[in-house]
Amino acid sequence: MIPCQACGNQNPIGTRFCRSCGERIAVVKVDQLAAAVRDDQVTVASHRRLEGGRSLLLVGLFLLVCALVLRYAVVPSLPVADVPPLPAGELLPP
Amino acid sequence: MSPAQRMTVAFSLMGAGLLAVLLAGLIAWSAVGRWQAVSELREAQSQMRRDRPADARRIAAAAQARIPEEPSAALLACDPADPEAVERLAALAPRLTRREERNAVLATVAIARLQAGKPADVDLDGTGDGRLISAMSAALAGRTPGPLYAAGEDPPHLQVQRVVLTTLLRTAWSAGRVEEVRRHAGALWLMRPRAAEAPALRAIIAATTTEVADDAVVTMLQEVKTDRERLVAALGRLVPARQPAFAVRWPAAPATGATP
Repeated sequence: MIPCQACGNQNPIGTRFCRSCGERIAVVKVDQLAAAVRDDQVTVASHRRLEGGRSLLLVGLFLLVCALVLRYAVVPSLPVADVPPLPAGELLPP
Repeated sequence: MSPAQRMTVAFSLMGAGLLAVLLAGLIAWSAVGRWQAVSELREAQSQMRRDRPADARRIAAAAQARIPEEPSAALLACDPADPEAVERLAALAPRLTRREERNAVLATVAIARLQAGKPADVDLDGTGDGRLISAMSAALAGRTPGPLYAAGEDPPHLQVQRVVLTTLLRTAWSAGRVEEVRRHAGALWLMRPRAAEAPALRAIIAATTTEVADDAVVTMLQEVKTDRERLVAALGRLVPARQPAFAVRWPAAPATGATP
């Protein structure tokens, strides 16, 4: 971004007049332009990472909800613990 | 927000997202394992109903490997004739929080220990199982158990009733206490009137009831398909007044004094 020397507004690279006050944007030097380009790249990258983080969080939360539904609503409950059939032996005395 | 702040927030969101994905994976994995365990337990119960305990225990052991802390799997997987398996089951009981699950585990352990000739040594006080197991313990020790009654407590388990009543019937029979034999046989018959041993139980009840005629008892004994000769001989000794009628129909069993 190129700052307007009159009002300080940040204007896109290549802008000839300030988009805020209409003042002519001063010609910048190459190193200033390079710095502005780098700033732009960092800004774009940070926006992308932020979007990526949001997406990953949403996907994670969605999967978590699906897993919880699977665990507590879809999987049938365990049979009630009961005493299993035990060998009772013969009716008649030994 | 500056790019640096945005990056910090982005990495935080990514971390939280990855954590959520990981957690979801773990929960889904445990859910699938639990699902498989439930299927295996149902199959084990089915095998147990078909009177195939070895197959049932093998399948239940696979389920127990997936859900080791669940008593429903541990109970089905436990072989009551294996002392080590019984003690492993006993070790599970203190970790159980639900009272009914703990009672089921302790009752199974107590019955298995008593059948192995050891003291029951479990805390089932105030439960129906506890009363029954105390009576079984007394009977096996040669003492006459007191009357069995429920007093607003946890009801006893069906399998515990079956084992204990069978033991009480057998010990009362050995001691020649006819009235007790009749009472326990009646309770056992009422519990499972269609079971394989039901004809024998009906015959025992009839033979130990003086109002029932000898002919009716003989007719009932004829319905007994398995081990009838032993039953006739043992009944002849328990109720000597019936022996002449039995000797007419089955001369071999009482005359030869077949050992029951």
